Amino acid sequence: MAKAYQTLARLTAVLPAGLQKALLSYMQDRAITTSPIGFVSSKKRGQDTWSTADSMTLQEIETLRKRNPLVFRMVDFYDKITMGTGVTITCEDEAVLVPAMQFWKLNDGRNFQHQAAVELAGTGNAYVWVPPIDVNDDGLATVPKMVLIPSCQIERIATKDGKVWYYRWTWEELTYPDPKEDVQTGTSSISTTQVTKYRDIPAEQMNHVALNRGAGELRGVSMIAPSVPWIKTYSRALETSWAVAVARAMFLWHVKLENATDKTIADFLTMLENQLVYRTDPEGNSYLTAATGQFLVTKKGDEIEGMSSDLRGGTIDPELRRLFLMGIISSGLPEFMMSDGDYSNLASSLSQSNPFFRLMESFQNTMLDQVIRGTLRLAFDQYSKVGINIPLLEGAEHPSDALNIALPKILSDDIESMIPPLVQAVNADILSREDSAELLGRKWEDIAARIAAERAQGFVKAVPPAFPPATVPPGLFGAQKAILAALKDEGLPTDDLSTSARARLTKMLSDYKKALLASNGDKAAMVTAYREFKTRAFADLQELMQTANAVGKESVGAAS
Amino acid sequence: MPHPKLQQLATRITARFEADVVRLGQDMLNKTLQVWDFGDFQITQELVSDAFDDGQYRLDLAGDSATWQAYQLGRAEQIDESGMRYAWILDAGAAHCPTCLDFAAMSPFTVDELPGIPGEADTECNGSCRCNLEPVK
Repeated sequence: MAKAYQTLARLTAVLPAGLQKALLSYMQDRAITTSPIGFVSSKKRGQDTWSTADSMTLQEIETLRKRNPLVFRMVDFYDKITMGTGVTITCEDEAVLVPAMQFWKLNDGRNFQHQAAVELAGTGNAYVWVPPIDVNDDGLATVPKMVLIPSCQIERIATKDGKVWYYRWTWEELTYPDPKEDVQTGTSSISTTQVTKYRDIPAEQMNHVALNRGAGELRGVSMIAPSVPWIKTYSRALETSWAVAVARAMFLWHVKLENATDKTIADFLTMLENQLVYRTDPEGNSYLTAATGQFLVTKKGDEIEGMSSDLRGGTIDPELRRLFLMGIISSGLPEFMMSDGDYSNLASSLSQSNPFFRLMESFQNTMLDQVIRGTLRLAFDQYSKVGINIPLLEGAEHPSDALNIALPKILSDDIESMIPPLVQAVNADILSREDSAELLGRKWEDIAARIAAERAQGFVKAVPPAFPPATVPPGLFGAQKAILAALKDEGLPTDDLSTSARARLTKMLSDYKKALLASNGDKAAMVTAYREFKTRAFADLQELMQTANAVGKESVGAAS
Repeated sequence: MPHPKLQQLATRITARFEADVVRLGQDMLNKTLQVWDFGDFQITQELVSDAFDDGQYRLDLAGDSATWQAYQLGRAEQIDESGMRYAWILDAGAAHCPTCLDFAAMSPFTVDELPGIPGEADTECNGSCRCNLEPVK
């Protein structure tokens, strides 16, 4: 039997799209197949052996994305640069287009695209759930919803009653008791309680797109997965080499002060030094370094000069060059080289210089096209279930097939054609850089304003829409009580083992806060406060643990 | 002199708490730096206070866990000295993770077989473990 399924799975993989659909529909009607994506496990039929607990790759990428700037930027790369933003959906027939547009707009398709891109880059999977439409009391149907489920919340994919289900969307929520009912009648506590929620989703409501899914596999693998062990191994060294390699291949901007005197140069360097920030390396040590993009801040009207790839070693003030190198190494990525923070500009540069990026752009657009098209297809199915029939145009197998989905084309024709000759002209001193910037349609005033606006926001990244909250591990509030109870049971003196030490820890933290607030923004003072906190906490910890240890020994002694 | 394995466990317990404190301190520092240029000191103060509320929770959690682990380590050392074996006893009032259930079933352990100290051992309940080490013959 298993062999038959394997054969079917292989067949579905090689057949043309139309035949695949026909075959799958035939199989589904007769409950022959357990999965529309043709999964067969050698161990247990229809059972996905992948689980969030076991898949270290997914876990590692998600963790590293939060911890390692390089991985963050890699995911960022796949998301922002190659995907662009926005999707254009068009159709000749309004009866098809309007519901599609309603669905896309009301579900905030732009954000959805962003999130789907992040999911694809980070985990290699995008799970889009289109639940059935709610019908109001008036009999009016609402627009279907689409929910992008974080890959880590899909625990497994398996069969139930002959159908495929996605198990399951689990999260924890705080519930607040009803003060009028539950609390007064004593059926509920006054405090909040954590409630585990879950939902198993039938495959017919799920659009699952996966990158690099091998034959017979259910899950995809992120394209950055192969680099994870490497990144973990080399970490800082790799970041540095990556950064330098990128810096050598890319444009770099620096500020040139006209009629500079020693004083103006000294002022400028001071300004740059003042903008340095503290960062934390993977070992947990702080180091002073440049923040991404901070060199781009300059006075209005200053001349911008594009540096060539050799960093113009002989022509720059060594101190300035040191600062630039520090900036390149610390920020480590081409974003630093961007004069105007425009991702499409960077993407066009990359695509111009690197065929890999062209391939990646095309490939990722294809994947995203699948995510969006599949989701619209499910939405149309939900429409039809509540009696809203969308016309099936001639030659289409499904109403949604009539939609044209245009993903953004990053390389606009003018820039694509203009950059190489302009660069050559500038390098040959035929054309000034200002003129070339003008020809490319950029104005320094606009760029400066945008940078100022970004600085005003503190370079804070836009916060993506919140997913359901992650599971909060239950606390160990009872440990101290347990120790005291144990002491009491053993007939030992219940001195304030914890209270004094704990009060000290609390006071220490409070002192730390006060010191930070009193620092008046002085980073050095803040770091001093941090060090003091650390020293005191370590010392108190030793004492606390020694006491606990001694009590532990005594408790056994008393028992025996 | 405690058994070398128990000495190692003591180092791990200390190192883990120290790592928690370092991360907590740095998070507070970074958060303060992030919100400093807000332009309104009152808002900055509120944001920093919010962050420190979170920090207080984390410190309590880390402190509680470390104390419990040190307490259990003391018991472990004493049990080792008395030449007894270890029984991994579940706390009747706590929810049990599968690993602790396994450990309890596998008891008793010699010091070499001991999978760790409750709270320190590689269990699913992690630092929140409420299990107890009891001496048995």
